[in-house]
Amino acid sequence: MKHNKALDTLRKWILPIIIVVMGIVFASMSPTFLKSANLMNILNQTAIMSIMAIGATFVIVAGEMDLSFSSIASMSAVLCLTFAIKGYNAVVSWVIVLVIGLLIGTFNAFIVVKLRIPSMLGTIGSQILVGGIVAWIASGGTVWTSKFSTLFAVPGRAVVLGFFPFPVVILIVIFVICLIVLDKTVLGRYFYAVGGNARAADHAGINAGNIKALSFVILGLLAAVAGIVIASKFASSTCNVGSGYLFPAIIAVYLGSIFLKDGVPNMWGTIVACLFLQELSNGFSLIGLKYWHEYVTQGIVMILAIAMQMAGKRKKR
Amino acid sequence: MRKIRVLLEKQKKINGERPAGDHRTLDQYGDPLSRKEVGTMSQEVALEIKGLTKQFPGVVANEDVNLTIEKGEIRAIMGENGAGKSTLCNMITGLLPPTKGEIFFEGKKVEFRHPKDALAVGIRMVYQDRNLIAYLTGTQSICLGLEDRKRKYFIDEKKMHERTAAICRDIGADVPLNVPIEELSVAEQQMIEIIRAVAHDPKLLILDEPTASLGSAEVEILFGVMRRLKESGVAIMIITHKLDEVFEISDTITILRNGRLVDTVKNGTVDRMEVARMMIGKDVSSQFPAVVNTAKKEKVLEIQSLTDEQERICNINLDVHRGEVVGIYGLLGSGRTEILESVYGLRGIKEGKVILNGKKCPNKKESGDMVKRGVLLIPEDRRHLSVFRDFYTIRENVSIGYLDKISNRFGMISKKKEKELFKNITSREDLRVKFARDDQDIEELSGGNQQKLVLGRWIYRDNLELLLMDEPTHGIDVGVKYDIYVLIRNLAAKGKGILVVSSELPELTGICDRLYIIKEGLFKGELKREEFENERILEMVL
Repeated sequence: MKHNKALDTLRKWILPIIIVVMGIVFASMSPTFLKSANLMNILNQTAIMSIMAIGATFVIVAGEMDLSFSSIASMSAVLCLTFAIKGYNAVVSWVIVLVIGLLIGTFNAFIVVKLRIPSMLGTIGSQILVGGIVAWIASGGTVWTSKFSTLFAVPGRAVVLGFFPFPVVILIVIFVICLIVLDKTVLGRYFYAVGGNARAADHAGINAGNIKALSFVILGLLAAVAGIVIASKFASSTCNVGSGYLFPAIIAVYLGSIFLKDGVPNMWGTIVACLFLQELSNGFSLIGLKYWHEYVTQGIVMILAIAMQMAGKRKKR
Repeated sequence: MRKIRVLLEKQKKINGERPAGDHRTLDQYGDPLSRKEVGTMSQEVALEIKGLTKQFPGVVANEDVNLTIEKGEIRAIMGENGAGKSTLCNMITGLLPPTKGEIFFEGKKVEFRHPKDALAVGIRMVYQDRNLIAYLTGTQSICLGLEDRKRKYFIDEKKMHERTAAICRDIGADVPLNVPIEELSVAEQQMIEIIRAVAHDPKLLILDEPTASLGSAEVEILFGVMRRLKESGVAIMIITHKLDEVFEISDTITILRNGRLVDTVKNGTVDRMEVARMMIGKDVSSQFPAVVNTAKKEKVLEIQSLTDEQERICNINLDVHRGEVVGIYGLLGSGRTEILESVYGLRGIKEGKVILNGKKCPNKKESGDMVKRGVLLIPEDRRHLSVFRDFYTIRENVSIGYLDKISNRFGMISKKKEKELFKNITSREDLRVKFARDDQDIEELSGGNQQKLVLGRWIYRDNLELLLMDEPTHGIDVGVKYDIYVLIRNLAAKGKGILVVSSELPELTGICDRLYIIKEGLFKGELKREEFENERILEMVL
């Protein structure tokens, strides 16, 4: 029994342990790795994906899946740049883009909750649909500009207090709010209830459909935020810029579900997993490995992590 | 309305055909084990089981069951819900391994590890919930696993169709064989299942409530098939609640109660009353707390001529007073759960009214509406409808009923208050839940303690007015059952209204002040506590 408990603890802390071990390996092979500038760089690079992963956590906690948020981010980035080129006011552009993200999220909620299409399939549909519209807007190519207004450049490029890149500030604010909502509030409790057992939630007087709908709307909004950061940071965007973030973000949520809790997706886990994935990518490039090495490692870690989590569950049943 | 008429006619027909309580010659059959000359065709034993026992964590589903079925014998298996009929059959078909005991098939000891082992020796079961693949045609379903082949690897659809058509002609069943299963009616699907079982030359055929979804014409066909199989020496076990059918088709009747075999009797030697008595048992009084009538004058719930959208229940009238425990008794599928669901808003209402504390509730409700009004439902299917297993600890399973109490106005939950609340509730004198830590998974607890937690989730809420309970002691061990009965009576004493549905009649007569009897969605009678008489009630629903 005691031995079992030690294993349980190891399982729950395996993710940070791997982060530290890999950090030591990277640091020993590349002197730049542990420099504070590089560490901040990791944080900065992970911000866009993390914002989406935080949104995806809500959907996955509520027992659903969303594969369309990459398209929402692309839409948001492309629209932002288009508005910037046309010389629109930055704040107005952001509001429009956020509302559009919200509306696409609502559309997802509608097809999943009202039309009862399995979310995995329904959101593939909206991914393609929204992706198509973005390509249409961008004429299938890249939207870019060299004459950014200063305000437009803030979300992606500003540095706060001479040290914190603005994307990191956005990430921290969003993370703290979402952590509190999911972990500490009644609403958060409802998300877990619905994802754990939607029918029981309905019997307990919680409107499971509304909770699920809300999760899609939150993700839509956060994906739009991520798109704003992309546009501002790179000043250019292809029409499918978001697709590179889709699977890493989803992987992060599942990977994170082994952190602290046994297979329960949670905010801390998501952010730790995002950091882990970014550390991997950053470290590998510093020591001269290629992205395919990174993919192979990511895949192995993902499968091992889930296998550990399943082994824990089996023992309990 | 058409459905109501059909139901009424069906009922009339059943009542007319077989007068209640017809006495036959009483001929004691003796100990089921010592008996050899059962059945009419053959003396050979098809199936023999010795000391079969099945334990689930916290529950004994079958205990020391012995029975022998001869070739060419039709054996009816009867018992209340939870008597252990399905578990017994599942052990025979290899779906569940027995905890103890032996199974002999055609004289040889068998140990099935998987249903396919039982199929291989010719044991075939038709399950109540059909196991068909929606997009296969009738022919394809019937031949599934035993397809005719051409040149070894290719399916010979033509030959398959000829074969199945011949079987259908043979037994006189008129079922479309060339359309996908999903386009067939429930009765036709059930017939396909039966034909499928027959087509594979079974030696022992087990039918679990086969007539539940069949019309009377199809029932006749089924009985014809059963008689023919019997002549060719096939042993048949049929599980059913319908006593008329048992008397019509079976050679022998085995009665189970609380997982044990009560007796095996020859058809014709017993009447309805005796079967009912054996199903319920007599020694029931001591399992219940003393009932003191605490009913007040005001009604907490009134249901007026209620018909639900799917017409599973028709024209139901019912009321519950404050401080009163009211029961609804009926067989599986009689509409008893549907009444609770209609009140709680999980089921649409077509006609009629639900009145709570003198105020009419809207017929269309949002989930959560009734919770706000102080009505709570404890569903039967604990695993799927009440407990939160994956993401919740036992603490969170309870606190979800009191989140408004332990959170501030921004909706932030206080962990400290939550822990206190959990400790407070689980240690209440009338609940006393046994658990190790408050962050355990709920599935680590016994069924009884799980149910106590689910009850604890609701019953101490200030606004509780009416508690709807569907099979509150389903799958719960005897000791905890008593605790739950005490709890129910205590709540009544505090002036709450309680409406209980159960398929265990002794449970209802043990704790209720009043009882409504329903059958096939229709009201059959209302009895006060002093009028409770188990045999009479059972006769009303059978």
